[in-house]
Amino acid sequence: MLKIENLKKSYGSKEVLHGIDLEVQDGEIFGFIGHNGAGKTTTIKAVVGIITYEKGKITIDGIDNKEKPLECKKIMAYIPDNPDLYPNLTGLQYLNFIGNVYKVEKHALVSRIEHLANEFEIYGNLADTIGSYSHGMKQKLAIISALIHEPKLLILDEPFVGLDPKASFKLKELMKQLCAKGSSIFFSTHVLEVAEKLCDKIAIIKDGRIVVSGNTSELIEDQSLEEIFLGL
Amino acid sequence: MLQLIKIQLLNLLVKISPRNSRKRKINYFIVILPIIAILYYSIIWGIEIIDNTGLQAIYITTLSSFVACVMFQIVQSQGHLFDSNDFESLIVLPIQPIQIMLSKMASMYISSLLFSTVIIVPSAIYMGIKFHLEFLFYFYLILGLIFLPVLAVLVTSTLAIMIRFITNKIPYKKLANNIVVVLVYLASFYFWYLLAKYQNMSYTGVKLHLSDDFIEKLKYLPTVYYYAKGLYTMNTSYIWISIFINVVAFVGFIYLFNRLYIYLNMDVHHTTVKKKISLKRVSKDSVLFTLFKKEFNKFITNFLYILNLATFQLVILGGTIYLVWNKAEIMNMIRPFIPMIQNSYFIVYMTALISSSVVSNTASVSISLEGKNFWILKVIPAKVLEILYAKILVNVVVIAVPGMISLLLFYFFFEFSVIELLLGCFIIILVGLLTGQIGIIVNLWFPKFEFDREVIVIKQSLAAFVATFTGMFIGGFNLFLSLKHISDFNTMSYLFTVTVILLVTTGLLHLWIATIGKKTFERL
Repeated sequence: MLKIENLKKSYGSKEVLHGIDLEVQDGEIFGFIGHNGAGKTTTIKAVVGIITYEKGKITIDGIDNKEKPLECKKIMAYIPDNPDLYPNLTGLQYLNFIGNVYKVEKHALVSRIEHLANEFEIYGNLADTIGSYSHGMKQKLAIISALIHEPKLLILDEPFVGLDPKASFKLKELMKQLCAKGSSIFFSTHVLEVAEKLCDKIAIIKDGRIVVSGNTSELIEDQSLEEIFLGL
Repeated sequence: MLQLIKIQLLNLLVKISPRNSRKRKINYFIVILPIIAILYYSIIWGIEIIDNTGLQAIYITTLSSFVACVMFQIVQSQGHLFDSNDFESLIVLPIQPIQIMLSKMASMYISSLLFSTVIIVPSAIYMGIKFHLEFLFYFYLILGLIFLPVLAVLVTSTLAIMIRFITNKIPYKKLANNIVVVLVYLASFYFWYLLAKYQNMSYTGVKLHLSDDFIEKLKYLPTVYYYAKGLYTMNTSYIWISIFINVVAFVGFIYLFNRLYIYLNMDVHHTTVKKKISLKRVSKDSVLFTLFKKEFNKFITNFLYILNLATFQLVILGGTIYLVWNKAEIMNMIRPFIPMIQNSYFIVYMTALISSSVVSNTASVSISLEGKNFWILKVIPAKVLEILYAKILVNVVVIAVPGMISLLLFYFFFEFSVIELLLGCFIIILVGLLTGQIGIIVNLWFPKFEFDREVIVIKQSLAAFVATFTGMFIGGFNLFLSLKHISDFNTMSYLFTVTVILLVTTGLLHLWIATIGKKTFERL
């Protein structure tokens, strides 16, 4: 579903990604782990098309995201670590906006909004402007907007930050359900326990290089992910 | 306390003088250009007033500085006092809450002092030279000037606090707050009316003399009145009265409002109204229309945006209504001056309409205003052209709708052909398109995504400046060309010529946007 080959990115003269290689298969949950400033968000931003990159290749469902960015965007969804959404729109207006941009049928859009907003317990707040939402509510709205067009690839940057325990649990359940339907998930996290339990595969990035990558169970063996991470 | 003021001022300076040298140069340009412009006009205007009214000019320049400060601070004060992001960080510090308010007012005072200095000092120097005034005049001029902006700061702060206090208690408080701010802003134009009325402006060779009524009215602003009177009569006790009143008013203000200020700031981010949700409101629209709706929503929910970027359209509409209402009077006024336009009213009106419309440019800040939300436009599957044209379309609506209503009014009262009306409407749509395209290009060149208040982008960004000046240049050029060659055209040939020029220009700009503009957007 997602293939990153020899990805290199520089800010001015400073190279921050030194050739990233990784692959996410269909129906897989892929955890992307690394300390602050390791290059997780930069990699994610290159995948979703927020930033350009100098070298390498990123393909989504076999489509090059530099050559056909629009085709790639249609089949994926992205949730940033700090979801800044349009503060002057209401929650419902925002979901309507996203639904229309992804060309979701009206009937499907209405039923998904109702279902997901109830699941994340923000249905009653959808008439309020996003500017009045708390961080957690914005995060929930961003998650709903990402799921509303049932993407083939879901990319999340620190998705559990700011969520209450119930919403975290719900998100994990939805991630599993989405993968069971054949979609793939690529997400970065600092919560190693979550990555350990949730992910089929894991990659650890350090100073812009992948230092560990593979199946979670094979990597961990009799250790914990925390021990592996701290040992690097 | 001094530390707090220092931080506020440092904050202001860091915004003006960032480490990036290109940004620093741009910011210096943005700050210095309007100061030079105000300085230039205050010198020209000041000399003219002094030549006409003599020493009495000090009353006019002092009142002008007060009015300018009030009009500037009415918009700024809401942001300074209530919309700063650092309130929560400051309130938890072990400092007196009153110090927070004082530090916020300090930055308002500094900018007002700058305004007053630029308006008063040049004309005062000219006055001093012309009338051989003594050193004491300059001494008291400066001494009084230090305290003079206090009244403007207190008036605007009081209004800001009262507006926030009233609107905090009603539903849709942000909207209500914006409406009241706009109304107060428009009301402040009364001062200009007062100035124009009592100045008794006449260029018939008779020396102007300020009426007693004008000076009587000025007593309602005691600090302004006593400062001006002190300098006019060189009776220093008036200057001291002005300073004393300023100090007393300031202390009184702090005593009355410091608790309310803190309460309002703590209350300001909390919503009180629970609205009903209805999924029937969900609609199915095209991508372009969806983006347009999002853009238009942003425009109409931000009154500062409307106030700064669509005022000209409201003026056009109001002007047309006035024109139609006073048709005979206007005609009598125009005829003796420009006899050649008697058969070309429509050309003159269209020229004025086009020249006024090109100044309104909502698109010029529309990319910058995405700010932290810009990531959304980068990840959604929308074509870059759809994103850019949704922004341009808002500009088309803002210019074309009031423009076409004005044309329609003009049509009913001045009887020209339907073809001319339709062509006029088409032209005004093209003008909206052209202006929007220019705005988008300018904003692609000079984006500004980092800001803590939207007013900084709308009023002070380089893109806003460049777009406004470009619009003024095009408008002026259009006025010059059209009126110079008015006798060479009949109405239809004028309309066709303008249509062709606009079609070619918008076509060329579209090509730029679709190629270079698209790539520039992708690099942002």
